[in-house]
Amino acid sequence: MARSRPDAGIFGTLTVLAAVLVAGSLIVPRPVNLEMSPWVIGLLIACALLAEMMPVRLGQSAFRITVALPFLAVLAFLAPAWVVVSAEAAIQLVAASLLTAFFRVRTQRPLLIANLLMTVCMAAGAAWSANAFARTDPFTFIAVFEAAYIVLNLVGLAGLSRATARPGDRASRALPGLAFLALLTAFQFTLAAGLMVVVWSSSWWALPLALYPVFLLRLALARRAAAEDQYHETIVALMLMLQRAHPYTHGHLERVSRLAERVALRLGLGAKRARMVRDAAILHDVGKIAIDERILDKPAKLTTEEMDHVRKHSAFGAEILAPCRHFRDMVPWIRHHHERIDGNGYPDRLPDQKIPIESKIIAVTDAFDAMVGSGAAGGRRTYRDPMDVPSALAELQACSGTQFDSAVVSAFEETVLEGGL
Amino acid sequence: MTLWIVAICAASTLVLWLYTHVYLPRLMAERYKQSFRSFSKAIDLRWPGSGVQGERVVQLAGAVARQLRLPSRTRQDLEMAAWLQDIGLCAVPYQILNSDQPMSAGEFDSHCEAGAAMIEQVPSLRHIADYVRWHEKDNDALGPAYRILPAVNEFWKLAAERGEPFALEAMALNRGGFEQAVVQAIRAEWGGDFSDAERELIES
Repeated sequence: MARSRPDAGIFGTLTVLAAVLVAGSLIVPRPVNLEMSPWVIGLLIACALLAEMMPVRLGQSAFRITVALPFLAVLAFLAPAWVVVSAEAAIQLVAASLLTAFFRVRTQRPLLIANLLMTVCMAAGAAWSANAFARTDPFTFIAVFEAAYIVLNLVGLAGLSRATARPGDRASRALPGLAFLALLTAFQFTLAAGLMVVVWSSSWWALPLALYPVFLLRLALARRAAAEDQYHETIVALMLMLQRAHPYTHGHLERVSRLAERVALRLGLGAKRARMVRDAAILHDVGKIAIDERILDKPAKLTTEEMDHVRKHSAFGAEILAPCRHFRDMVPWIRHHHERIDGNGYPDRLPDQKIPIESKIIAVTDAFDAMVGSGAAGGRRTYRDPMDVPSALAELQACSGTQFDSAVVSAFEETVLEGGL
Repeated sequence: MTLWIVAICAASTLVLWLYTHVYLPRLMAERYKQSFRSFSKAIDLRWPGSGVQGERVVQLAGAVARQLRLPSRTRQDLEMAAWLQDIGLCAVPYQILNSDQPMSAGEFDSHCEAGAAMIEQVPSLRHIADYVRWHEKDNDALGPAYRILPAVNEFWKLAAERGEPFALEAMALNRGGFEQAVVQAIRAEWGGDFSDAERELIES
């Protein structure tokens, strides 16, 4: 189900695991021995191969998903474990070769090997579990097989994600959500049960019909991924608009968003909430589209009138994002990212307890980046020289408890000192 | 048991079909519309005097595309481009946009190219960049779909100054050299003929 970029160390672990699971699956006797025609076995393998050749990317992650499992589960009931493991390995190899040759889906060789080892582990482990724990009832058999396969897949995914994660990344970012997995599993079990009925009633002609729901599922996942892309592209388009209006923001938004997500995680916000904080941090200055760039770039202190004009940007940002339902939660965070905990902020002069924690996180990271700048042209304020990191942290500490939330400043400082920049 | 399993399989396939072919396309269309409203809001805030016609341009462009029997995919692209056509205004300096002096032709035209350049950076919108690039100037080298937005924009501009009947008649008299099939489609969409009083007003 999953592809990532594996490191060399993981191959040894996967090879040992595959050897143990294959040996186990061969030792455990099958609960039933069916004499099944090689044509039926071949038809199931062909269907599994076709399903494997319809991969779909899972949202914004690097993972691609296929739905060959129902065919494999039925195959495992009808054929010995060695047939299932060999068929799964062959399906992976043939599908990868055909996708590369005809559809220009590029797969790196280490990735292919890691994926092959993982699928061997999953097929062998699932066959072992199903033969060991399931009775002769075919539906219990396929349920155990699928459950074991999915658990092994998730363990493998988590291991691969962990092994290949960059510093500061969370493995969970790449993994699908529980609700999604539950639905996908239920659908795959239903399909496998349907296939089992087809096999049991010897209606072999109906086997390829099962590819239609697989195709539908693929289409659904692809359209869901497109919906997720649309969300990200809206963010990109708004960023482009802002960068066109104010080239100063180039780089600033990315740095603030990266830091804001890490601080959010450190403060105990969930991974999903932290990602939303990252997205909100990218968009926090979107209201500056409606601010005069001559005032923003003025190489001197602003007059009161100019300051009032600039201060409108947080309310403008909220106004711009308000029409999008998927930004609904972020609208108040952006509106209040210049509120101060002593109640002297803008635009609403909110007291501490009414300022969202997400706004407080954006406020601290934004202020820090504004003080430090990127060092590159356009990455710093025009009217003062950039500070070094210790001085900027000291400045944040000095304003902690009046302008900024103390807990957020502490979490931010820890993030920076741990090398979060 | 067997019948139940077959029924559940059929039902889950049906649910999946509805989800894929009904729910998700509607969700996407709605999300696009919301995003475009956000972009329009941003332009509206940057240039409050823009008089951007927003949804009216989108509706008329879509209706004209229907009149011309363009494929539904082309109509959708055109509507998207109509929403996004003024996105490049954020590249025009604030002082110029909000000055009392009218913008020079060069300053105004620059927003078409800037908008197209921005849209080219967004993968799912790249294919409509040319609609945005040519939304102000009619280009007879392009197909009829590309000639709708300039005509519709001109129609709304003239209509804002002198009213819809004048705008239609002026365009029908080939003012601006717009594609006459497009102008006729606008006229058909708008309601066809004028009263004698309106015609007299136009001719005067």
